[in-house]
Amino acid sequence: MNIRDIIIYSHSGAIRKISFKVHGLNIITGRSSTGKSALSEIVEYCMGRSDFNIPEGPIRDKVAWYAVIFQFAGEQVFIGKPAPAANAASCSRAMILRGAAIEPPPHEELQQNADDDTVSSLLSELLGIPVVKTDVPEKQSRDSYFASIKHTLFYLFQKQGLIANKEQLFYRQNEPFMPQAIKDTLPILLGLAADNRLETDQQLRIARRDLKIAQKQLTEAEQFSEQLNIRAISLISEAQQVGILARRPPPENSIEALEILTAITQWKPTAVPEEDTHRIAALEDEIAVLRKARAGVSETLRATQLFVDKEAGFTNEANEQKKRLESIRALPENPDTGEWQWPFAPQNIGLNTPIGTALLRELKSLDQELSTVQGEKPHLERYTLQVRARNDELNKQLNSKNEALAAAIAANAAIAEMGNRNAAAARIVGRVSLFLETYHPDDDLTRLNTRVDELQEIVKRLEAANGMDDSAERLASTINIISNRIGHYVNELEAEFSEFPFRFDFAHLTVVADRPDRPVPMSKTGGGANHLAYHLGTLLALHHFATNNHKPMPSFLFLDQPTQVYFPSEQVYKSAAGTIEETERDSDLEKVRKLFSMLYKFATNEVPGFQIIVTEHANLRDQWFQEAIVETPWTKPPALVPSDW
Amino acid sequence: MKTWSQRPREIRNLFNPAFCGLVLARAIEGFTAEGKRSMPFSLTLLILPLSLHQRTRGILKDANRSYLTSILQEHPEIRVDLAQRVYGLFPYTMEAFAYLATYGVIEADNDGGITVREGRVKKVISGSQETKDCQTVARALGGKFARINDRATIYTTLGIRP
Repeated sequence: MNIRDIIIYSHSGAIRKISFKVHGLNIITGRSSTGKSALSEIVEYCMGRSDFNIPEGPIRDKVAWYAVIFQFAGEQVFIGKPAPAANAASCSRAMILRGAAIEPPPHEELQQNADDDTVSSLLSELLGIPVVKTDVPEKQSRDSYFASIKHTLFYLFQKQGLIANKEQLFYRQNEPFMPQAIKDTLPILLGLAADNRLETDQQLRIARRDLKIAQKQLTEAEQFSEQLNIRAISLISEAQQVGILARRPPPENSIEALEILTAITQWKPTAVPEEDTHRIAALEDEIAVLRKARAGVSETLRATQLFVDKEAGFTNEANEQKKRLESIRALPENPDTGEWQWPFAPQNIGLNTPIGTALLRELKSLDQELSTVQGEKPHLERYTLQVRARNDELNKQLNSKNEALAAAIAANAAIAEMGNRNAAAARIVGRVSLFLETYHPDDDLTRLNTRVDELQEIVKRLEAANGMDDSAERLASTINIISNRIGHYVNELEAEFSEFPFRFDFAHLTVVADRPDRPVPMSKTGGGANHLAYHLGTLLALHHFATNNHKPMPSFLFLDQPTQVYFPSEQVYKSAAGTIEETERDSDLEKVRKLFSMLYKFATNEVPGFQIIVTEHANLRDQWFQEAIVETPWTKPPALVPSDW
Repeated sequence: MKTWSQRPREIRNLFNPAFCGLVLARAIEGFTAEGKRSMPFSLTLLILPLSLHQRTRGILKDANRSYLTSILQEHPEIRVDLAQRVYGLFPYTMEAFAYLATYGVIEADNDGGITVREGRVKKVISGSQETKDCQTVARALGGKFARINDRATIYTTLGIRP
């Protein structure tokens, strides 16, 4: 995911577009307050963040819509958002356009067709962020949530005040709850969370619940040394069927069951009760309804499964979630092979009427537009789980209804056989008293004990499967890889402590130089130039790992005024104003050049396909630097917004 | 496509050209009311598969007020087998168009867009609950398509191509 264009629209419909090199280094230099810093705010706003942070001034007054065109492999996405209402600090309205090559639509065609949540979930899906919930240790109260594009922002923007800040490494790290969000989501973004977590979690939850129920039953059984028994329930159901016992909810514990059964043995023959056929009919109706529902659900499940399975070998890597859009075969001939594909119509069908031609032309133009677009695989895991849970639920209901029906039919059969209800009742009463006499609670205790053991085994196995995910070790190893890389960049910038190994301290979200006598965290070091080196080292190392390993992380980085630290003062830096001469006279030129050439090398050779966008006051005469400049230096404020708007 | 007399009774009843045509006309009305222009032919092909399929219709009906892009992000299951359904219903869409054209209900323009002539379709939506639902969902869908205002975005979001 890279940035192709940043576009702003004036209230009168004028369009200002800044186009970037999708891969490589992009530099925008010029005077202060020309709107350079607003660029990153615009990108952030158009990535689905509702807060609007563009500073008060000409931009806020004159811009009606902000938009960014993002480049994905094989597809471009236009995200436009209107400026928030005059007295509002946020806006969540958005417009989405997708296609192989998108031109910014004219102002009058801008129209809200989505909101921030949709933008965020679309970008997350296109980027290939896996549908994995963050890991929350048991006994902690925070909620588990899905990682999304929002959680990549920390690593994409280094704004003016942050880039040489020694207390804070990542963007927005100083805001409440953000450090925890970073720690929760980075493992997911780096592909270190277990793949089928959602599924095993669900199974584990069910197994744990079953275990809890079984344990409760066991405790109850042990407590009363007698317990609910399937036979007791079926006897009660039969007794109800022959009319000895009034209809009532099933007993809740064994004591109640035994009381009911004892009460049954007190039964005395009375007048012949009515045969209860309504109950059977009603049960049969209920079963028919349940069966039909279950058939529908399992058909849905099967279709979804087939659809998902069509793409075999699905992994979390962003590249492999892509596939060609599926053709609806609406054109008479297959555009790729030229074969006739309307089986319902003869080949010589009269398509050469003007209307027929117009309709086909409309279709063909769309097909051409879409010919290179790739779609993304929809995330159907959550839906499948829902359908499966519904299926299980229906199965359970069916089973219990079937049992009730079987018991009712058996009892009715007994009535028919014996010719009168009293005899049937007497027979049930006989069986009940036999049951009570031969009832050995201990048997059932053993049975429950085995059941608890079995379930414990299942839970243990699932927990092991969950814990077997070696994500903790893989995270540690990834952090090590990133840490090792940090030193490389810090060295290049000749920062302090560069002779010692550096470490990305994920627990405290900072960088530590491991000096033999004692480790030095970034906050204990001095000098803006050093802090800058540590920041860049960490971010470049992180992106080096993420992009080269196809992790779902946008492959661009926004740096705002990194070379300020190489100038004697902020005042002098500002007065450089994008001119080569001032830069050469006032700055530590060697260092400035070193910094830019490192960024240039990074985006060109080290991580091809990466995009770095730098907003600056400095300017260099080297040719590669000049080629990286996106627009002629912005000299007259507000350069981002044309002065005639 | 089978001739009328050879079709099973259910198909004749459910996918009869008059009803399909009515559903299509509702969608085109909805599109024109929102977008103030004719509905591209490519988009009309999606109306029957989305509004006659029971599960999809339920989702669209419940989420009447949200944007189509949001609905699709929330219910990716709409895309399951959609291409197959569009292909299957394509002949019925064409048949319905033929029917509408015979009675002078629709008009096609040179850009491959389709409009409904004023005063040819009853404004009031009536019938059984299900037939009413099909029509209201189709009309809303036409409006939603017009709001997105871009064929490529709609097709890409649904994961299909012509």
